[in-house]
Amino acid sequence: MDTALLDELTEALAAARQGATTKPISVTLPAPLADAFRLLADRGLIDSVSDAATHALEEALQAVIVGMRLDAIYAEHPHVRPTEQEVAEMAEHAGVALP
Amino acid sequence: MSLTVVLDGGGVHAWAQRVPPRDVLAVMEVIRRRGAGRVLVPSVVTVEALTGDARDAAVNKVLKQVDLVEELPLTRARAAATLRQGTPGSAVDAVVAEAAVRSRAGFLITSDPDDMAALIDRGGGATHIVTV
Repeated sequence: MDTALLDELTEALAAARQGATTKPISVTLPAPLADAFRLLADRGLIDSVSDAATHALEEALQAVIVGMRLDAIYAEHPHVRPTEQEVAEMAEHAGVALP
Repeated sequence: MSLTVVLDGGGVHAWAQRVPPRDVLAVMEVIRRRGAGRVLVPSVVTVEALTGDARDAAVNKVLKQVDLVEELPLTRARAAATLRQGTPGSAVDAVVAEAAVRSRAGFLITSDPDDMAALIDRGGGATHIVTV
């Protein structure tokens, strides 16, 4: 496991959640998605497109961090890796779909 | 739909183990496979999860990697108090359960499944409880 990378990602996620300073960046999105989120913001259904994007990126980063920890565990103990069926059943318990 | 996993003290300890229980690994695999999720721990959980000495190293490492919710506004404390009435759950349990209900968590990883189930039922939640 790349411990330094994991530490850096973990610190970044923690800082973002604690209200770190922001900076503008330019991203390219499918136009309908950008338009949909602009509409949601205009109608007050989300605070802002930036907030929605931040939330989504935080959750994506959380998944990466979880994945890195799982990989580190499996590297030392490959026999503990859950089967595809176990993961699918767990997802079903929570009523969520897997890609 | 966003997926939230809530951990109580037992859940934090389980995820901090060198080899976490298989069900915990499966829950975390669900987050990984979906490519997004939130692992939420109300900070009051640390009262039960930490000892204040060197034994805390693994737990402290995990606490840095989760969404540690440090605020407990009065409205949420009131909601937790309401959940707790008529159940044997502790105040900490009630705060954890309230967080699970409010966030519509998909999973709650706990070492106290009976009390947590009672609390979540009172809140009308549908969180799947994973016992460790």
